[in-house]
Formats: sequence, C-alpha cells, structure tokens
Amino acid sequence: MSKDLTSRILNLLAREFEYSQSLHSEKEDMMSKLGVEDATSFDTALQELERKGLVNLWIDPRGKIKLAKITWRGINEIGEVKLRYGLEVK
Amino acid sequence: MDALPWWTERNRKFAAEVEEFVNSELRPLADKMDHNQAMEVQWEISKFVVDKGFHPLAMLVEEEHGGRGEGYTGYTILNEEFGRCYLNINPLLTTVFGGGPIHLFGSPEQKEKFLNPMLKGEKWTAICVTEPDVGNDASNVQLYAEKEGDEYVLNGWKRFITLGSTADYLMTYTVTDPSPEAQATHSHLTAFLVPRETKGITIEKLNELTGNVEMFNSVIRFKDVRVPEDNMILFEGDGWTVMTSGLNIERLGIAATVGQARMLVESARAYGRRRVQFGAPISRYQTIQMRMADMAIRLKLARTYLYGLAAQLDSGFADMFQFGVDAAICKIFSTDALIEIAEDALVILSGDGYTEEFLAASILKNALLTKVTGGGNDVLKLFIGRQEFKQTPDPMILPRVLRGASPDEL
Repeated sequence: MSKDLTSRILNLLAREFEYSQSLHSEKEDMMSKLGVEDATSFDTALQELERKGLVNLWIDPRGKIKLAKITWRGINEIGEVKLRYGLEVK
Repeated sequence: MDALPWWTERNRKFAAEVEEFVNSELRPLADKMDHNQAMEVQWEISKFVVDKGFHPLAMLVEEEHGGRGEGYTGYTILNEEFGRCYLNINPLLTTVFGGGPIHLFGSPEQKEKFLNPMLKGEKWTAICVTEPDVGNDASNVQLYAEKEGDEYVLNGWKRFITLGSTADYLMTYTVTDPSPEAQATHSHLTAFLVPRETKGITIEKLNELTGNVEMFNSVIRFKDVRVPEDNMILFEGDGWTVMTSGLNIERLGIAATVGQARMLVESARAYGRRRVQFGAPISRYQTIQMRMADMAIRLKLARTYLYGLAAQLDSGFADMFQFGVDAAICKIFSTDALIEIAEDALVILSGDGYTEEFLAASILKNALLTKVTGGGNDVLKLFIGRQEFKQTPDPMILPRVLRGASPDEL
C-alpha cells in the first residue's frame, strides 16, 4: 500500500512538474487529486520519498507538511517528463 | 463570484448561470487558445457566446424587444466573468458600445431593422468617434454630414476604429452644424448608423498595435457617403447625447478589467502559496504580503464602485450628469487599478509572470490601452476636477473662518 502510494505521489509530482517547473504542490490538493483521505499515511509516504531524495518538502513552523516538489533524482526515477506549453523547440 | 450585498435574487441567479457557463464552456475554450487570437477565432467565440444567450447587448435590452433584460448589473456581471477568461471578444464589445445607443434612443423601426440582427449575432457594429484631429476632444468631430433631400452626405476621416474593416455597421458621429452657437450648446453633432459597405467608404489603413493585436484597428475615409435620414439616431443635433450615453455604457464595460484583475489576484495567491524561495513559500514574506494587500484593496474598491454604478442605472433614478462624473471616476480607478495589479502580479510571479502561461505581463501590456481609450484618464480627471469646483461648498462642513460673517453680525 505504502509503496503504491509513494509511486502514485511521485508520478503526480512528475506530472505537476510538466505543467510548472517553478512551483511546489500543496499537500491537500495532492490528496484530493489522488483520492487519499488519510493524512497520516500520506505524510508517511511523503517523508519516505524525501528520505530517498526523490522529493523536497516544505514543512511549516508548526511541523506540518504543506508543500512537495519532485527533485532531479525523482524525475530520473520516473523517467520521461514532457514539459508542456511554450514554443516549439527548434 | 462574490455577490454584492445589494444584488437582487435575479442578479444572484444570473451570476451563478454565467459563472457556470464560463467555467464549463468558455474557460476550457480560452485555455486552448493563443491570447492574441486571430480575428476569425474572435468571431467564432463571439458567435458561440451569442448562440448560448450571453450577448452583452442582450443584457441591456428588455425581454419584449429580444433581449434578456438583466439590466446594467447583469451586463456588468457578464463582462466581469468574460474578463477573467482573458479572451478577445472585440466583436461583442464594439457591438454593445455601438448598438447600446440604438437600444436607448432608436425608433421602433430602427430597433427592428438594426438592433434585432445585432442581438442574434447576425450583424456587428464598430464605433466611429476618433479622427485625425479628434481624440479626447470628442466634441470637436470634423466629419461633416450635409442634408440633401432625405439623405445626408458624409465627408471626412475616422481613425482608430476597432473592427472598422469587418463590422457590418459603423456608428458614426458627424458634425451637422459647425456654428459656434450650436457648438456652445453641444447641438452641433448627429449620429448615424452607416452600413460599412456603403459606396464611398474605404479602409485606408490598419494600424499595427503594440498590444491587442488582431482588432483590425482601421483608418476609414468617408467620401460622399450617402446615408438615409432613417439611419439617424435620435434627431439632428442630438449626437452629443447619443455619444455620451454610448460612452457611459463603454465605461461600465470596463468590468472586463475587473475580471482580469480578479484572475491576476487569484494567480498571485496560488503562486505565492506554492513558490518556495529562501526556504519558505514567498507568501510568508511581508514584501509579498504588502503587494497582495495592495492588489486586494484595489480590486475590492474597483469592483464595489463598479457595481454601485450599475445599481444606480438599474434603479432608474440615476442623475445622468452625476452618473457621467461617477462613471469617469470608476473608469480611471479601475483601469489604473488593473495596471497596478498587473505590475504587482508580475513582481510576485517574477519570471513566470513574463510568460504567456501566467499572463501578468500580457495583461499589463494590453491594460495600458485602457488608460487612453474610452476617454483618456487625464482628460477625464479634468472633467471631474471642473465638476468638483462647480459644486457649492456645504457651509456646515466648513471651518468657521471659511464660513465668514453670519447674517446676525451684519
């Protein structure tokens, strides 16, 4: 379950990176997109991904995970990303 | 969208209907498009909007005359919602600004002949005020109309005419009595709805604009253009009344700027919460919070004032002279607000704000036009300033020294 969740999160963050290379993703938004309601197991999965260096997390001063973003290593783990929008590459 | 406290139940229902249409049909369409859409795309979107029952002109026209009768508040709601899609829908806008005076002043025959096809999206209108020697000095129109039998013969130039080369009709303001007496009483102008394909009308040039490209901004020559008297709006000498009423509708149309400002505020909010720099989301930094506060203040004030103006007109008790002053204040504030909001959004979004995905710079570039169109902001300030000094000061508000001697001292 945990492995499945971590791979789904990583895949979502890779897809989000395709839309914007600047922004982190908000945890609540990610949970909603993945249909996850259990915040504790979601936090555990995010922390596991961070431990492996696959995502960066931003944790607020109260200790709550708020934001996540895929790292260079995480993108390599996923493999292909196809950045969206912009001009045709010539 | 947030309802204003004084909105009626009908206004609220209409706002929900428009929001649903925009979210489900128009926004997805806008997301797929280049923001400097080719003209044929603009026509396509405009026709689509009309087919779905959302022609801005139809909001102003009563149901018994083929409109929807949503009033000025409905018209403003629609423009605001369209604005947040950042779509170029120039054919709709120029038709409402040009067709509005026919709704207000047209004869039953003119409404049947001209207004109904506009409401159905079969005909489109451009507005012809500006000339080579006439910009903000709009009462100084030089294009001359001379009566010959039951026709008027028009000679002169018009320039900066949006859709001038493609519209079906040109709402054209002419001078019919250049005497100083007539000019002093603003009874020198006359308005005509001129079919664009009338013999003698030629498009001499399309201006290459810096922003808002693809609006077919035209320079038009009128050479012995014969227009039937039946195409005159109101009476000879009433052109100033027709023109200023049309401009008031145009100034309310700046609701579109409020819609764009709303989109920028939302974008900056979403971006600020998710952009991490120096180890924290930038929304945590006071410099960003101050900019966000400035954006929110400007948006809130512009939006509230705008809907207040719409409510004045809907009440049927508006003092139209005072409305002109209020509309000028609203136009200046809203357009300046959009520019300032776009600048703040650009700073918050940083490099991303300069891309076509985030649109801040694109909106800023196009917003510059709003400062000088529909009455330049500086010229409108002159008008407001003069009106302020014409009002008699309220003695009870003045300090004693300014009240001077009281009658019982004399």
